[in-house]
Amino acid sequence: MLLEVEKGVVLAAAPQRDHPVSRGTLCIKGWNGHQIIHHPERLTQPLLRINDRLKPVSWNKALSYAAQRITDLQQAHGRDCVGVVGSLKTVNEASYLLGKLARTVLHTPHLDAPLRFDHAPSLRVLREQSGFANAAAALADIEKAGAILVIGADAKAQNARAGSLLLQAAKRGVPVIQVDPREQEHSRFFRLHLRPRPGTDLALINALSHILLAEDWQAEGLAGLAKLRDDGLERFTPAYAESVSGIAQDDLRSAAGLIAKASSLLILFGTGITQQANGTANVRALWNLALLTGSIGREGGGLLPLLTANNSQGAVDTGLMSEWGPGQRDLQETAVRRAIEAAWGASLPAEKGLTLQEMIDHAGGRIRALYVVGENLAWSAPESAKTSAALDKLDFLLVQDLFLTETAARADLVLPAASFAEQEGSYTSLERRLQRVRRAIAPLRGCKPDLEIIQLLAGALAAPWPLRKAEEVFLEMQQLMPCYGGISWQTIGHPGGVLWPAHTDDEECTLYRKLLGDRQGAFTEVSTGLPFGDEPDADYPFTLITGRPLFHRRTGTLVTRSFTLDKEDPVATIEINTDDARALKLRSGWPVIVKSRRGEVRRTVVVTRAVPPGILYLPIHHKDGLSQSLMPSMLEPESAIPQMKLCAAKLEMV
Amino acid sequence: MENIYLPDLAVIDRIVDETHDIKTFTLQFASRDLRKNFRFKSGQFVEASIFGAGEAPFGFASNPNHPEHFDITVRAAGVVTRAMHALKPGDYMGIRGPLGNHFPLEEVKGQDILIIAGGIGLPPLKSLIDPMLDCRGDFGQFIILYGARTPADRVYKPLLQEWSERGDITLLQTVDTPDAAWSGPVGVVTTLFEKIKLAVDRTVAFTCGPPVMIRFVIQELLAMGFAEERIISTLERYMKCGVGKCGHCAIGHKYICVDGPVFSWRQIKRLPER
Amino acid sequence: MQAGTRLVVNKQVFLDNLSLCMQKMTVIGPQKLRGGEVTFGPLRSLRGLTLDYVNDLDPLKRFFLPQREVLFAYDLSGKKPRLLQPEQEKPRLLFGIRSCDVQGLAHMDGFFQGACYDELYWARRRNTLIISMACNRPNESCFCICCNGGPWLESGFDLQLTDLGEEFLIDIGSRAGRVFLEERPMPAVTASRRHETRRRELMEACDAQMVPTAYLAKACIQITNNRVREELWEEMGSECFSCGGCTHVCPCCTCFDVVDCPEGAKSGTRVRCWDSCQYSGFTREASGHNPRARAKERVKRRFYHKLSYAYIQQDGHPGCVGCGRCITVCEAFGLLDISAVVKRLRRDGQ
Repeated sequence: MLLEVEKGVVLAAAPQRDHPVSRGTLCIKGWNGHQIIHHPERLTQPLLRINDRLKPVSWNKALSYAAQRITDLQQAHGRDCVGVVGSLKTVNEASYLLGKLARTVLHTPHLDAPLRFDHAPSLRVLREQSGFANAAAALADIEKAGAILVIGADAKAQNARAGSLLLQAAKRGVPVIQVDPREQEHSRFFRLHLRPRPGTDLALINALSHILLAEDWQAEGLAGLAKLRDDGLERFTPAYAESVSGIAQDDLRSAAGLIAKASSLLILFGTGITQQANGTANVRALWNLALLTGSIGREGGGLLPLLTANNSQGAVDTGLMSEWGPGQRDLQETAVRRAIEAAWGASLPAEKGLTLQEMIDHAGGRIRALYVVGENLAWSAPESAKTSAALDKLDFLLVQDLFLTETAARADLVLPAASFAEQEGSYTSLERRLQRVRRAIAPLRGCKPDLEIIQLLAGALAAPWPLRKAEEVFLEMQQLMPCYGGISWQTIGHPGGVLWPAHTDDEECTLYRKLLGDRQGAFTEVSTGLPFGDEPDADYPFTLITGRPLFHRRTGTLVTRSFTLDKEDPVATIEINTDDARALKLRSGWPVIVKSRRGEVRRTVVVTRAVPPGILYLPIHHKDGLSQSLMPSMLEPESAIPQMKLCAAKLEMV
Repeated sequence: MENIYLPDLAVIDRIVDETHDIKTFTLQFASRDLRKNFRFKSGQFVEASIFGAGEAPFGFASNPNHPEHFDITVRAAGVVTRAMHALKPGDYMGIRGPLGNHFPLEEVKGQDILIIAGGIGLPPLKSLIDPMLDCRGDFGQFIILYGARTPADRVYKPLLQEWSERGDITLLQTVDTPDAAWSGPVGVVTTLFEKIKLAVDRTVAFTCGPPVMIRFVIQELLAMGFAEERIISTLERYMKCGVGKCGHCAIGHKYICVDGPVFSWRQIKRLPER
Repeated sequence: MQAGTRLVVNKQVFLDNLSLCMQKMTVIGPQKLRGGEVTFGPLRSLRGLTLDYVNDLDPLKRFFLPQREVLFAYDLSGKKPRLLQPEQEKPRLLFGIRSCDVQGLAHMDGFFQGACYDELYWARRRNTLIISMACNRPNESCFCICCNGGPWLESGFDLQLTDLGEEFLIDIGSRAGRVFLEERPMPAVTASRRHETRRRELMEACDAQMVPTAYLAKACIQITNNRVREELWEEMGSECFSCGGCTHVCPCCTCFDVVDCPEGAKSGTRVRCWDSCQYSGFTREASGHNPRARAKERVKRRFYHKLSYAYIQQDGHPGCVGCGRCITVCEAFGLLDISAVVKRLRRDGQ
């Protein structure tokens, strides 16, 4: 993206023709997102809560206050009473130093990135199976895939580039199999649309694998098939899958047939299958399916999770996820900890830290203070009422952001951060593309880039850190991140940057082949699945699914401050099936109260056939009540992701 | 620079609370020159600015024969209108106008007049009724039909009383939901048609109100035998610049702010989207 | 020298003169960005200038209708509100603009004087000297020959240059262009037959490289006569990503939104910024009613406007100059840019 600047003001955005991914396009947020930069509500001074009001203070005062407060609390309650929440939007260099600050200066094991809420299962399974918590495919694979399975994701709404390539593939005749209870705009262009009951994807995916094995359609030369069959795939017969998911056996066979005939299978997936009781099991099942077709490590094949936010992957790579340090290395392994300690010259906490939802659940108890960078936790976490109450229980809430979000409004201290156009650094995209971002204007008066704030805070906490620029931090973090090895700051400055792993600057590696080598990967265990904890009953007869529409980001903090984007989605809606609406005597445009066991919101009815009977579709919105306030926060046991995709719900007249 | 987007300053003379969410503002230009020379026609509109909140279009709701001041009647529905409702007499607004085309007045002299208004559709029609009543003798039968949701939601209540007491015009009012004090007809405004007798070949009908109401009214008028050019209405769209440049109010190759807002049914029929 | 005269000047001599202009006024011309992309911007010296380009993806209309423009500033600190006009654009020179964009300016000229005269646009327009550069080669998305958009024009410029290699062939298109040359005496000869032949060769070579599959006339007629199946609009509406890219880059698109940008409670500006009829918020009314709620209606509106209403409003010129930018920016690649749609309409109509 190019930004047009005149006299220190960003006027406009323009696309970049020579960028290998965007190729001269921008989505609606790309064209209009720059409007947030000069928004009058941009924070321009640190704000300290005095007598229950947030008052402007100087940077010096703010930083020394923060340091003092944190030190006092750590002395009283132990160093691990502080939790840190990283950002999915800031530059890698800032994320890397945030992790270092948390683990060595604050010496707390409690650190996590909000990708936990979306893709913790995907990261876990991918790392487990391939050694890397990353996409096992690239966007270019969409153009080369023989068949594409899109499950739990609306590519058009969530990732315009993926959606565009997917549409082109479908129009070229590539068989696209979509799995989603709800019909999407592009569904009509896809070969097959399977609409399972919500929460039953595991049975469906395993049944596809079962059929491939049963028909002997799997790829040649695979090991471990017998174990796969006996370990559990045996029971996922088409009949079983039909009884669980509601998908007709013939449709399952058609899907399996399309997959079998294709030269490669690419799987695009999203939060529709990860934010569930079977999140990790679902991703494992997808891995098995891809492996069975021999698509892992092959051109046009693999697993591509559609991550949210502009630098989600970077947050993982630089070490903000609870279980991994820089380079995605397992901090529970002593050897890894020693190596990092040696590089950083400081000791790391040995204990396993709390994950994001756990930190919220322990607020006021084990967790006394939270340092939240670039995340509107009050709105992004499920069971919003519980989250707000939890944040209020903290002794010290420190928030670093561009705007006074609902989280910042509850904070004890707010630090004003610079926007994407005002800082230098690098981002890593969902397909492992490392690129530099250059600042277009100086940080607005009063605010500072995240990188600088974190270093200043470290200084205030008496850490001997020199103030460094992004390039220097990049060089340091590279030492600890083998996956970023061999990549120069200069090269990632060219349009398109570098797709890692690149062992030298010249090697452009678009695929996963180099990583996996001959290692095809092993099949994962086959889980039978867990019961979902919030089943519908007579009182709450509907199953409600959340979704993110085209014009929204995760909480709307930025979207609502771009006047063009804000006009796009002014009405908070709920979609209900035509037959259900008729039975309840509801019409489109009518107001209705949507209740779950955790909360209620007011919404405007949209009657449609796109949603099957018994299902309600709730797009994420904040007006008249947060959609997230309805959703459950109980954790999926393996990856600690809240099961916030589904809940039981009922409708009441206004 | 002759800047078509730059408003003139006007002062609020008076504010009348019409209903719980509708107010009428009487405005006068700050510049003496403008006060002297400003002219407008029935059916035209202004773009009113509340600096910092924005700008929105409002039809003139007062008599063009007395242009030293003018009225706009405003419901508080969005950012601009809510900001406007917080103003007091003596406060300033920005005004650009007069904009748009106008109701035919001279052209319909000698005819019978039928006015059908719904809710907040009455204000722009008032800018037509007032000057017509100034030369009442130039017109034949004069009937006003007014429908509102409830008696309290009617605008210009004192004026409605005046009109009903005049012997030379017929005013019929109806509400969707009556209150205890209401003794008049109940039902949508089209139910009033059965109470009047019209010579459709000599009558011109003017109608403004919610889009749904207009649709049904025009249906009835056509069924009664009105010719397409004898039905005059206003089209509403989201409007921004008011001068045919920003594109928001475009329908087909016409701009509501320049080629409208007043159209005959014959013209409306020919438009591609309604 | 009269308008219509053709002169030939040594290229370097002309550019040296251009360089002198840069010291006295803003000269906007093509320059290479890091990475090789060419975009138009103010030039400080000849070193920044490149002649190795076809066109900027960012449309040149932005120099006349900026993506964000202050309409006026307001000051509420006194008893009466004070309104302040924006600063007038100083005289400047636009060098190297292509014929399609010059034709786009002609389209915008017609639009910004119709109904009400938009002085903000005209102040910039009057203060800008247009020195265009005819194209010797198109890129793969160009189709100006289908729309009267180039590669050479008869009028619309102050000066039109053709790059003959060592020399520029100059068409003088206006009095301002003539005066520009008179004020900068350069060794010049009247174009000879040799020059004219060379130019014709270049024209024909350029034409030949463009694939003429997007002739608009048939589509204009189909649309004006409503002979397009609703199902085709439905299909296109489902494909569309509503990104607004097409309207942003089109030299003939002019729609804008108007927003007040307060700076504190006492002052601020009213700005206009580019808006798109492809966004759902474009026609949504305060009541919530939206006559074009679905992408299908918006896509349909766009092509009716480009191929029919613009034709009616602008005396027979459709709203397209064949610059090809929409082909690059469309998220529904190859499906909804105007050349693709024209082909789909033609095919559907058979």
